[in-house]
Amino acid sequence: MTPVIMNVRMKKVFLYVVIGLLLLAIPAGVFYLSQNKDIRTRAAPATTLTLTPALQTVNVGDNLKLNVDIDPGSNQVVSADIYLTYDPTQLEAATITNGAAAPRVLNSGIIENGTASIKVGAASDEQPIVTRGTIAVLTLTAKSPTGNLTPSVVKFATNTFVGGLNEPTANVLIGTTPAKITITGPGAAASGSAAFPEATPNATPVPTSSLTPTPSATGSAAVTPPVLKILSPEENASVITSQPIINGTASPSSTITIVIHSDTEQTVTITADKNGNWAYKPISPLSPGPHSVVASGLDASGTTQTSTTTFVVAGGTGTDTTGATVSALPVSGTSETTLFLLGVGILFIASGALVWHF
Amino acid sequence: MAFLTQRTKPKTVSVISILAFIVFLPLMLLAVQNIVVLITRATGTPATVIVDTKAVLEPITTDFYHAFAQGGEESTDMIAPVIADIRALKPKVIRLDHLYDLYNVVGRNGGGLTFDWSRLDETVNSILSTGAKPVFALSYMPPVIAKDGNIVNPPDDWNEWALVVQKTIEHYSGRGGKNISGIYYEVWNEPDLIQFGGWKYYGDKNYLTLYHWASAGANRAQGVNTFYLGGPATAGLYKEWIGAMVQSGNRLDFLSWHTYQADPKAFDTDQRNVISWLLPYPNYTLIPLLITEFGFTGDKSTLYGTQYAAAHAAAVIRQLITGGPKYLFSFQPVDGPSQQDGSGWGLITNPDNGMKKKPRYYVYNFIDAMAGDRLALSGEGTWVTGFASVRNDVIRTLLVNFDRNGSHAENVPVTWKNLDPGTYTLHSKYLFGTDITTTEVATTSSLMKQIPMTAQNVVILELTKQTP
Repeated sequence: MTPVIMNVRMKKVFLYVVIGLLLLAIPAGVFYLSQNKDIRTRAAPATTLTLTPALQTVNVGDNLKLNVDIDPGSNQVVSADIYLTYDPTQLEAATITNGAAAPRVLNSGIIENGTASIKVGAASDEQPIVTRGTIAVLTLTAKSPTGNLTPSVVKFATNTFVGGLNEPTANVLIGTTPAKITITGPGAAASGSAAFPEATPNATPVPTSSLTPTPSATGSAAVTPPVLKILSPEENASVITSQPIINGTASPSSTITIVIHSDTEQTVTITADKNGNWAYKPISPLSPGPHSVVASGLDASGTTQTSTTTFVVAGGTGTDTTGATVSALPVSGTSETTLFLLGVGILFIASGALVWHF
Repeated sequence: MAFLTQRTKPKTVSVISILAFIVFLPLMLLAVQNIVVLITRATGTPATVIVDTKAVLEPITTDFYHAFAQGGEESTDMIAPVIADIRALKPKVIRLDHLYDLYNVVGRNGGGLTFDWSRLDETVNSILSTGAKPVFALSYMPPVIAKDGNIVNPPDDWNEWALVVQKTIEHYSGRGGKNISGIYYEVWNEPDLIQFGGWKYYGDKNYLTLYHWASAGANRAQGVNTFYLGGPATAGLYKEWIGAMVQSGNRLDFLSWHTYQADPKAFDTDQRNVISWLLPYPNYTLIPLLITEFGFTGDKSTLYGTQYAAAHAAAVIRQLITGGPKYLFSFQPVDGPSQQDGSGWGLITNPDNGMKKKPRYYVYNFIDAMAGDRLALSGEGTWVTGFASVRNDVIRTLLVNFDRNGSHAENVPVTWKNLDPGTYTLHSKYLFGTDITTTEVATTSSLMKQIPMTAQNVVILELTKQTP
């Protein structure tokens, strides 16, 4: 065999090897990039905490329960440092403990005048919290009445913290939603042990709440029929979550039409509960920027009532007026550019090999 | 007096007055301080305990305090003579230190190291006989590899230290060795103390270097069951040490420290502190926390032989009953020798002193009755603290009156709220005293009783509804 023939054959073999490697490299590269994209998708704080039920109406002296519900989004949550605040002249916290979604109590609950806190954790690093669930439960007693239009607010303090694995920042909390409690009844505030009346045999445990904000009131005290009103988000409020809970009051069991004026208008019809409370969480995320909401319905006399609010879905940092905390989101990369560059590179190498061969 | 002043120059009187003032001022300050202490002591808050029998909180477990740490006061197997008594404590884990300086494990033959586990195995076998797993404090430096032969020095060759750790893990966790799973290996013991080397978390004598090479040895271990490597086993909980450990990049399966504090609430403060320090490090927030030695003082004290020690242990367990460590190690199961004065740390006296059980010995199993779901309890006081639980419809309330001065007694009003009206049996079980059983009728939803609590006593109140 002449050296020339050998050289040509060697070149051919080399070309086949290069093409074979390229064929292997393309799917491997795509797989690698998709993995990276998945990691980048995860690499963003996305956890929200919500107090449920969002709305409750209770009587003075009643016990009530609030769940701290977590939506970890794409995060792998291992810990939560929960700080709640409330008006101690209207509410008295009795207990705070962990919920089923956070089986570990890292530090036991502390209740002080107007605050309740607890640190809870996932079962282990191998079993982080990745689905929605209840991570803590707060029980309270109603002490003094509120106005129907000025409910008592239980909300998360700004030092509330949620720890997530493998994220660029330890705190993956991006938003919180408070709860509002309307307290009816006589003006005298209960205090201390009187919050648990000793003379009441077979004291009823605290009411069980559901994840959907359709609370039921206890007691039979006369309540002034509420006018249709949007309570949250408040006018010109800034909220961090793209699906803020819109809630308010209306005539008991009445039908309310909610129109959200955004890039894409959303219209929905819901029914108020027997106490006139209603709440709605947009099905589609709202884009950052201003949005207005119009709620309308008939009152008991058949008169149409409307209420409007305007709020901003924030994209920056700050704290909104409803107690929702806001934190900066890291910008996730995209794989399109990398794929383009990879393709160009492959073409460049292939063309170089062909030029060399011919 | 007039005679003296008449016969003494005014200047002399002034000088004497100033000298007297200088002498008596500190005495006066001391007196004032003592008065303040007495007043403060007298103004503590008595307990007014309220148990909400319907406010069920998280489950509580009782395993965590069935952990014991045996010091190396003798180079013999100190557990062997008291295996039965220790087994009765239902220990989950028993910690040993002084592995490499008391048991002649590591030798040298020519250029290589040799390992003789026979003496250490005897003690480990005794531990296993009690039903517990061993926990090893990898300490101190084997003399044959230590600089200048000093057991608290670094080794001449870090690879030899790594090899010692590797061989230890392979021997006890290895499937070809003792084949024990789930062993905790703690790097060193109280490295921050001068007597144990005075290591820092920085500088030339750096604990992180010691730990790094231990970690390297652990990672080289072959054919082993699951095991855990951790530290720093400092004499107290220090933020800088914890921070240095989690930022070191070394394998870290658990964090450990010792606490010798007379104030039981200091243990709760430590737990809250360490969790808050770990929150910014999510990969370590759930890491097991081990208090690998605890007591009310690190010094020998005759109080270790009294109810004081028992009440202190109960009060500490109360502080850690929820949100506590993985293990809380009582130091120590058995006294060292020649401690007939009763000042040893042991739960049981040394064989040379009759192997007598001290009051603290009885605390652990006594508190086990409290296993169940925790109930909301409020109204703890300065001296009397407690917690409550429910299991199989029996409501239990533990109260402990721990007084550092040993004299405080009080009648504690205990109210059980939200009871179903009916007739109840109240069984008051005192750790040091007589059991009392009474019948109580709850005509309303609450029941109140006055519970006498003498100093350093512990009681469990069991409330059971009688069937109609």
